[in-house]
Amino acid sequence: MMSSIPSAGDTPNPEGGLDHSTVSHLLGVAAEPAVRPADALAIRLGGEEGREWACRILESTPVEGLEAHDLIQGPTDLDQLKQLHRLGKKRFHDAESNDDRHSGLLWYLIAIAAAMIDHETELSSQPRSEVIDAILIVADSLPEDWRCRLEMVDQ
Amino acid sequence: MAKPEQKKDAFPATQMEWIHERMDAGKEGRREVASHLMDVYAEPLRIYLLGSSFRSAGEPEELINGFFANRLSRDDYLDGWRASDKRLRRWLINGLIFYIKEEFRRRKKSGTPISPELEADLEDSGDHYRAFDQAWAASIVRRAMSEAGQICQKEGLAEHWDIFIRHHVQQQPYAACCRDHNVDTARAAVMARTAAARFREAICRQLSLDGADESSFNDELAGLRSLLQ
Repeated sequence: MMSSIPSAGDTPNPEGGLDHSTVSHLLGVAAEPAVRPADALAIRLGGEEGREWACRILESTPVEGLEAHDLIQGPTDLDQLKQLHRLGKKRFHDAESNDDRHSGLLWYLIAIAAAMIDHETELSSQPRSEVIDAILIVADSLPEDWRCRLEMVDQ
Repeated sequence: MAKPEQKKDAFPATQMEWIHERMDAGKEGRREVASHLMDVYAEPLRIYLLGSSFRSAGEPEELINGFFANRLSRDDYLDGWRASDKRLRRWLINGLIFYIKEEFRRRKKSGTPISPELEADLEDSGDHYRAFDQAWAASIVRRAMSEAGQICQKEGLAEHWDIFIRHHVQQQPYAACCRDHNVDTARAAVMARTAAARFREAICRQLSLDGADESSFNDELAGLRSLLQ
C-alpha cells in the first residue's frame, strides 16, 4: 500500500515509522481547520473537478480588455490590475455562493500577484509575507501556466 | 463502479453513499462492498489480534479470513450493520469477537480447553475497542498518506508531498526540508500546507467511509488522538 507514496531523493519510506506519536501528530494535522479563505479556495481547486472549475473561471477575466493570456504572460497594465483587484474584492465580499466567493478571491490574488511581479507594486495593505503565502497556497492548486506565473511572486 | 477512494467528484460526506449504493445494487454490489471491507479493515484487525490475548487462538490471518468468509457471505450481516447505526469498525470488531467466541465454543465441544484468562478477556469489550481503534487510526493514516501521496503526484505536487513527509513524519525543520527543493523555508512551509490539505481530505474520506458525518470529523479525530496519548 505504501510503496506508491511519492518521495524525492533519499526520503525513506515512512511506512515503518508510524508510531503512536506520529499517528497522533498526523491526525492533529488533519484536524487543523482550513479557516483561511486561501486554504478554502485551494481545497476548492483540488482534484479534477476543481481544475475544471478553475479553467472555466480563468477563461476570461471580469475586466474588459484584460485577457487571461495577458495575465499569464505579462507584462500587464497596472490600472487594469487595480480594477481586477477591486472587482475581485467586491465579488468576494458580496458573494451569494461559495463559488462566487472563491472566484472573487482568485481574481483578487491574481491581481495582487501580477502587480507585484510586473510593477513591484503592492495592491494589498496586508503584510507582504501573508499575502505571498496566500498567493502560493492557491498557486499550488492552479493549472501549470497559472501556477508558474504566480510562483514568480516569490522570486 | 469505481472504488470510493477514487471518487474524486465527491466530497468526504458522500463517501458512505458508495457503500449504500453498492449494497442496494444486488449481489455484485455486495461483493464489491465485501471486497472493500476486507481491503480496508483486514490490516487493523490483524494488528489488533497480534496485540491481544486472542493471538493464542490461532493465526490472525486465518481468524480474519474465517471471520470475513463466515460473516460477509451472509446478506443479513451487512443489513444488520445498516440497521444498527453503528460505525463500521465497531460493527466489525464486535463481529470478530463474536466469531472468536463461536470458535472457542466449537473447540470446547470438541474437548479443547480454553484458559479462564482468555474467556474473561472476551467479556471486556472496552479494552478491545480501544486497542482496535488504535490500530484503525494508524491504518487510516497510512491509507490517507498513500492516497494523498498519489494525488499530489498526479497534481504535480510531488515536491510538496516530500516536504510534508520530511517535516511531519521525519520531523525535519523546514530549513532542512527546503534544501533539496531549492526553495526558502517560508515556501517550504506553504508547500507542506498544500500537501496537508490533500492529506486532510484523504483522512476525511476514510472517516466518512467508516460512517462518520462531516460535522463529527474533528470530534472523531480528537477522540482517536486521545486514544494514542
